[in-house]
Amino acid sequence: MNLEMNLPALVVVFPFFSAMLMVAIGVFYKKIVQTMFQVTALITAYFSILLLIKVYESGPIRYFFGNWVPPVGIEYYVDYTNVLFITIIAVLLFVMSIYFPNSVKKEIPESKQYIFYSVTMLFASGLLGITITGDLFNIYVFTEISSITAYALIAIGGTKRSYRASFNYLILGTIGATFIVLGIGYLYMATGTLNLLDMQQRLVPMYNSKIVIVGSVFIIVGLSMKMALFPLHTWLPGAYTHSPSTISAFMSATSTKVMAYLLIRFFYTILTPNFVAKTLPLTEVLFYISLIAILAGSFLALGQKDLKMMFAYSSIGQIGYIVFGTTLINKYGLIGSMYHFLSHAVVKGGLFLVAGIIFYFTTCTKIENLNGLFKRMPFTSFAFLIFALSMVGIPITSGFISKWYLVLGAINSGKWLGVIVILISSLLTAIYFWRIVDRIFFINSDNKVNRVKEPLSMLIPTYTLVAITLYFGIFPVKLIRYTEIAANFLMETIK
Amino acid sequence: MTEVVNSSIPLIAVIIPLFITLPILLTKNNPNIRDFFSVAGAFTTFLVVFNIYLKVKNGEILEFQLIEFIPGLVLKFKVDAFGVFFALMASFLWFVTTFYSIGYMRGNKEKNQTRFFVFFAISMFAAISAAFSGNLITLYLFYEILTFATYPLVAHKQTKEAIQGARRYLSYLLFTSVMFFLPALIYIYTTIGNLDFTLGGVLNSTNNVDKSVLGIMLLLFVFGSAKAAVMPFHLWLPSAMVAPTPVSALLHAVAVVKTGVFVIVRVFVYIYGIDFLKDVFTTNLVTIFAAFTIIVASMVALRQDNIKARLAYSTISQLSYIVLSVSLLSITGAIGAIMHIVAHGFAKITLFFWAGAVYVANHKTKVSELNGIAKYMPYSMAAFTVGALSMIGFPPTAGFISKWFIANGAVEAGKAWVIGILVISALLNAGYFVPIFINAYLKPAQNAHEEHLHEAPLIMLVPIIVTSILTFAIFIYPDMFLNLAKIALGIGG
Repeated sequence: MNLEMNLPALVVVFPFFSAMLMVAIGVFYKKIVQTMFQVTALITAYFSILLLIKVYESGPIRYFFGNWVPPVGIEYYVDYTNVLFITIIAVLLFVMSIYFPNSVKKEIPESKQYIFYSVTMLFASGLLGITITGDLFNIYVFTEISSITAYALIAIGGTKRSYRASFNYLILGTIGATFIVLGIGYLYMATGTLNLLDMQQRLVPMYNSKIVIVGSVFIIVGLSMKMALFPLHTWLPGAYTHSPSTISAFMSATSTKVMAYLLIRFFYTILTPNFVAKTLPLTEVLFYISLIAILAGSFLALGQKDLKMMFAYSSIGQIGYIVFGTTLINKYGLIGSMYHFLSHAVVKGGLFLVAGIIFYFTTCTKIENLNGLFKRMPFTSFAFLIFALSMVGIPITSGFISKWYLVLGAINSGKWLGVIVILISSLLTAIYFWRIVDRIFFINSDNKVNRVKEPLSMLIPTYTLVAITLYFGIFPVKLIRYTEIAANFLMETIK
Repeated sequence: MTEVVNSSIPLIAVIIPLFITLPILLTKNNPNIRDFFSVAGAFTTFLVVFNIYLKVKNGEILEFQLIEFIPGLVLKFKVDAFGVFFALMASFLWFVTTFYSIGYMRGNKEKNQTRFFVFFAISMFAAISAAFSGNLITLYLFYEILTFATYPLVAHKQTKEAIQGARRYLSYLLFTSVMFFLPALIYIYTTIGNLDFTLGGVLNSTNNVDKSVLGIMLLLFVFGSAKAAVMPFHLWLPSAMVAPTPVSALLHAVAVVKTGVFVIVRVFVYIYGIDFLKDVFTTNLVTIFAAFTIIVASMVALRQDNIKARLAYSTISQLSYIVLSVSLLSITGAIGAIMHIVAHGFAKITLFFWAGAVYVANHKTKVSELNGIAKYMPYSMAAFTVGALSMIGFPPTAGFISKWFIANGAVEAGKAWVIGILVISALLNAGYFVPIFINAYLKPAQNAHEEHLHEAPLIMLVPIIVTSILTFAIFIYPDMFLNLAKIALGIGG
């Protein structure tokens, strides 16, 4: 058993089994589970980085489970694109795992904590599975794993609102998943295979087949639902707002993005741009929808009174950016999308961590209570400021680079409308974040409050994310080069 | 005769202001030591910039690559004559203003003085870096940093009014730079692939580019650089006057607003190129917008009773002189534009210093309250007189020189009507400065208790005197700046 050979499997299987083990051990030794969780996250992150290096050095990997060659067996397919996503998910999970204990102790009843850790790990392994697998049905299975665990994680908060949010997501998520599985069924019917690369080959002569068209539309609709693309977003604000802080942070950073990754997969690997852009005007339609999503998310965020709710609506706009980049069908758009995936995952995750710290001390995330926060929690406030600047897309933060490439992509495709919308949305983002920056730094609090000391275990992860967003804002070249390789590799299917 | 030299001195010059924020923060409990660091930082920065000036004067261009920002796009410093021209003025005035700020902040017993000095230094870091920028993307970067770094200074008082003013300040500057400047920049980048400042421009007419689109981009640049306050994007400047007066003096009369016109001159002369612009139809529009701003802003200034608001509108008007004269597309006009940066800088900072002195010493903010004040503040009023004369353009002050070049540039470009604008504007300038003279010198003091009026403290007075003397000196000995302007435009020097 060679570690390096089996990396693609390990990245998913290790956290998966570890999650199972956590329940078994947790029944007897509750205290160990938290450490297990962190160690598992660390090892998974380590695996993912090894995998990233391996793919970077020697190209895409096709890993056949049990050496059964597809279409018979299941394949894990790792190329430049998804290994990046896998690394981001795994590394973020590790960074946030340091933050978990304090927040979990505060928000989750003690008897449920070990379950909570276990389910979170299961959720993460589901996301990793979706990203890595090269088999369509497997994608569906992992989607269900991550969704079902997500319903549980949202509801674990135990308030009326969190039940309602969880139920809401349950219904809509199930509808979305059903769409996806129906679409997969249609494609399977047409091609007789579930393997991604195999299907890509077999689909080429069938682009005019009605089954294929119906199948792909089903899948796109299902994905839009799962990634909360406006107007199918209604489940998201509640789910992010009423779940425990740690879950809001991790979910907002990864879950909808993974669905956006699937969209890239479908567009570029399975269906190929020749089909989605020429045969069906799918990209054209999604282009406009993404513009609406970008604007709607930003406008809705403007009116929110709760910090987490505002972040959630802003996520709806941000997912629009990623979709926007993929619909441009050019290199720059893809680079922008991938870069934004990283940037937004880090920044939005970080913002929810900040909200978590605020909640930890004040048990409230209402915006009106933020006056003079700087005096109470200077470190948290400063982290918020950097994240806010990155959300707006100010130079030297990673948010600027992704917007630069999205705009570049739009100009290259001659879509000036897209340019205008992205810039307007940046300004709207500036407005709804600056409102809060003003409150935190410049408006004095009515009642005198003492300085609180944020625990290091919460500050370190937050500041790691601050460092990441600044690093990729100031020294973006390596990552851009890498995403360029990934984008070129995806674009090869055009020829 | 110019040669490009790799050198890290520009980096040192911009690192110092950034670096001194650290000791300022660490010594926040001891105001004297803290303020010593501010002075020392400003002084060493000036020395380093002066050192650079000596090199550039001899035909060197200092280049320093920071990082590769985006593949194919490098952040770099490239200090040419124009860059050092701006940096020299900014760093010198920063040094002078530091003394003044200490006097003002202490005299006024302002809160949060440490924060004030920290962000002041960061703002200067951004302004000098903008001056040294070697290409448009670097310039844009520091332009944005400057916007954000000055925000805490504008909102300094943290009253509702201050925060509202600061918000308006930020929203104007951010809106224009993101909606106009950034897309224009990206468009130029995608069509030409080169954003380096090159004398004569990077857009050669041989390139097969659509000139009408480029013309629209030119307008986007002019309005996108809203720090230049060309109407209709000027309202942020009066709003920014809620800031403490040293901020209004150095930043909103020199560093910030001059960065705005600096960007515009860079775009006109070093990106588009004066010759290339002769075929671009929108340059005339720029001239008209600038002329409109000059006249209208002066007329608005006439009606302001608040001293700082009057000065703010006067700044708006004077900034458009620079935009106007660079849009004339003649070399003489361009010299006038560059010279006016420094002429207006010294004169306007004097006026703001005066306004702050009046406020600290006697708590007066309105023109109508100034009756008879000259008797009690003779030195400040003398300095004010020099500044106001320079604004109007009287010899022997700096303002005369730049206006002389602008008028000549207008003739050279065949747009003699511009001279008419200059004359009307000079009359209007006189119209809003003369009442101040009359009130201060001729009218008797209003109330009996006005006898408590007194002169400003020495630490504020010295900077006022220095800048007003320099306003003279530039008229008598303009060669230092004039030669730099000529080297910058590639003629003689």
